[in-house]
Amino acid sequence: MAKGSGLLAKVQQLRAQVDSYEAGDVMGALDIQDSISDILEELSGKTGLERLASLIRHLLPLAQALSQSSLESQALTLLTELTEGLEQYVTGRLSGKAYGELIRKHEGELRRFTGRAPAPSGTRAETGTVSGAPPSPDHESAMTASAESGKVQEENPVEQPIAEPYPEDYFSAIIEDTKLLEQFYTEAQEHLEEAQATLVELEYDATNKELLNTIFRNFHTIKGSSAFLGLKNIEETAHAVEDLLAIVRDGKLILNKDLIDLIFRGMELLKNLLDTMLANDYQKTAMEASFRIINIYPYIRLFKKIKEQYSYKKIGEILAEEGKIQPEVLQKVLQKQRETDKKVGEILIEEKIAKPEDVVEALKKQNSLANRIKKSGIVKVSNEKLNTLIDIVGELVINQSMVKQELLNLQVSETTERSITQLESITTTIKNLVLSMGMVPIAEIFNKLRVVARNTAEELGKSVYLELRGEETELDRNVIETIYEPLMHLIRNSIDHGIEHAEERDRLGKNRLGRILLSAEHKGSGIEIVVQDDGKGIDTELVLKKAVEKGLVKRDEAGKLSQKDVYNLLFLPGFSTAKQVTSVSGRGVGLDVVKKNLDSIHGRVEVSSEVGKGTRFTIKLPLTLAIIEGFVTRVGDNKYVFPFSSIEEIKVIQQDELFRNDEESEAMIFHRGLHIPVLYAHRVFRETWQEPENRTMLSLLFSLDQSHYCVVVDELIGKQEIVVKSMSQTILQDCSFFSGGTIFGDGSIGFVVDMQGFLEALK
Amino acid sequence: MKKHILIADDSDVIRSIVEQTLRLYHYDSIITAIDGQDALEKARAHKNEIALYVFDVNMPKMDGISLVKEVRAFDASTPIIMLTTETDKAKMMTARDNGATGWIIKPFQGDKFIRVVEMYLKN
Repeated sequence: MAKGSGLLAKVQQLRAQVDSYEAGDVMGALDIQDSISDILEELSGKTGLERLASLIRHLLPLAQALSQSSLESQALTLLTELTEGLEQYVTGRLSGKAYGELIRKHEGELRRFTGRAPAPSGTRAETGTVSGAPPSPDHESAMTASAESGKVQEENPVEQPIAEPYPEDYFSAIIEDTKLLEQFYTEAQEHLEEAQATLVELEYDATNKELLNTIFRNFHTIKGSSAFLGLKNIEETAHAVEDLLAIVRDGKLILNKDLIDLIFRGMELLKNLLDTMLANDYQKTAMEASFRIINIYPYIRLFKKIKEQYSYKKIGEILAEEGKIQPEVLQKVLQKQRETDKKVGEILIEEKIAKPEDVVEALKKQNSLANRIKKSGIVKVSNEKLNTLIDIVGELVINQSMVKQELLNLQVSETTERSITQLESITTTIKNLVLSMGMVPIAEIFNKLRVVARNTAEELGKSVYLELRGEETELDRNVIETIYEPLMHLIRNSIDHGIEHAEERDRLGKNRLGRILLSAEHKGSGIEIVVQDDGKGIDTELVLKKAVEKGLVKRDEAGKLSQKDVYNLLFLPGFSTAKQVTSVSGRGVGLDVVKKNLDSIHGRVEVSSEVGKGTRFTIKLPLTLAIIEGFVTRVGDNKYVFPFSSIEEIKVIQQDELFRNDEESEAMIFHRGLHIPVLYAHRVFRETWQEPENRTMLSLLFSLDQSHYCVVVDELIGKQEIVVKSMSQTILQDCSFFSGGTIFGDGSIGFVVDMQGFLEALK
Repeated sequence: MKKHILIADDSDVIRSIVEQTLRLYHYDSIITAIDGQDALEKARAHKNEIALYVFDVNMPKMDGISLVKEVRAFDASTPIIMLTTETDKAKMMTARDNGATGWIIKPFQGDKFIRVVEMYLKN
């Protein structure tokens, strides 16, 4: 359904309810409250209508006062007057200015109900405090446009007074040709859709000329055709966005997240205006009335401000702005400049039009403006080259330490030894530098996830705000690629199963706007990513019931599971607690995919949840895949590297500690109150086994998915940083228990063990 | 402490519907009365302990409108909600004059009723 017509119908319904209200009718009072909330919901997030929403918010405390005998009659009188005014305003019979004045007139009375001034004159409005409706944080962030030179904080349009933004005849040129207007509507929608898709791509490839040209053309076309039809508001808005994009296209400004957000806002504003046309059946008078309540100027001012900041100003312009020279004089000087090929400044001084010091001052100013327009010093390198470089540097590190080893064995001179040390430090620097090149800020996928959250919420009819923290945290490019999908599933899952619908949240006394926190930060030698929602939490009873139904857990065992075990059931393939299958995440695919993807990059996921309060997924990841902390061992004739992160301790096993439940079963030891299976590494690696001489065996104690294992090896060599090199696919196919290979300082090679695969190979 | 909700209605059905609805939303401190006289006695006995009154209009022994007047004599501020039918409008005005806070038309939906209760308990 079209957006604008809904508003009018709702306002009319509210008016009817208020008119027929009788003192003491408690249900009627509730209906009025509901209608107001409904209108606020309709307006929430609508670009350009924030001010109207904040005015309507004043009605809510009035409606609430209807249930208090002492305030009732006064509240009803005021409510009647204000809803009547609202209806007239929405239908265009009352100007925005007049409606603002109406509210201002009753400011004192309104304060009695809200305990605060309604602030109609542009001071801080009580957004969010009176009705509990949240100020949209998304909105605030969009209002902050930042650039390399620092941040530009712009006033929030919500705080703008409701002065009539448009002159009397502003809309008079709109043509009365519904067919043409409809055609324009369709065309503009198509352009906006293309622009949106392009903008999403630009989030990852901010300097792509072709994309920039496409999106520029989108707004340019909308501007052009709207001008023909007399749709001045659409024209002005599209023009503002186009101007900003022109600066970006010319390379004077690099698109960053804030600018992209701002352009998104501009697109939403345009969509709103277009929807208004459709909602009013392209009828001129009706469209005009609806257009008048959408104020485009706060946004246009924002676009202009940024544009000004990044445009070069001419010396003459600067001087004219400061009143140092007259505009007419400037025109003459410019004429002269064209004839003589001299610089404006020179002419100004020669002709004694401006003082030399003023010209110098203006030049300085021009420079400081220009300095802000720094071009980013980024060079693009293909993935392939970068991967090869990382590979080669790995070899360099290995070779360097081999050379060092050999030379030191040869008892070389002191000078050679010094050179070797220096070579080593240079190599380390190169290694660190190259590894950091493979690191990208997680913002790259966070921004993509913002779009996912936006779309999912829309699809499900929920209001969700995704709060991002730690976007600057850097991660290995390959890790980033792998975690996108798990994070996407977690966020969709949170919106679908966690966050309640707005009405439900209202009833529970929660903020209507659901909140999901997505954060990343360095923890120890890895990275921790958190997806946390303030939704309904995980109902363990429900999870268990479902797990039993699906045969994932035996009925009699269900009671014995710890809370953590129950949460882990969510990650089993084919598990879904959704009562209905929804298109978003209710098919039981999702969380098992999360686990699978994380396993492949040595990551883990933990869940904590509180019913009614929300759920928190914590993902722990290694910083990079290229270099890991490994524990080197010898089994048979070869070296094997185990991932250090999952080793709990080193355990020396005495032969007589071993026991078996029966002949067939595997050997176990009893250690720290646990029965731990003993696994022989040589069986997996197909190495020959030498019976230990003194009846003792060396083993590493692993902890994986809350289970423990002892892995018996022949020799423990020690902990070491390992450069993981990929192995050929043919080897990996046969040996899924290896994640790669490595070359040691002495030139010998080793195999890096993948624990998951290792355990599977034993089965 | 004000914690009880006092419900007065001569109809067993209405009493139990209201009571069940309240319990469903975990309002467990409920006192019920079967007529106006019973309600007045219970209201006196639990003076200062009642957070909300819900009175039917037509009850034997003492009607809801008189009951409001009697209760207001010793409890001026606790909200009183009347349960009424569409045709009782004139009576409602009298009830309001006697000090009733508001009225709900029967039949009503459970969740709306609970919102009314919540609204008054919050105030």
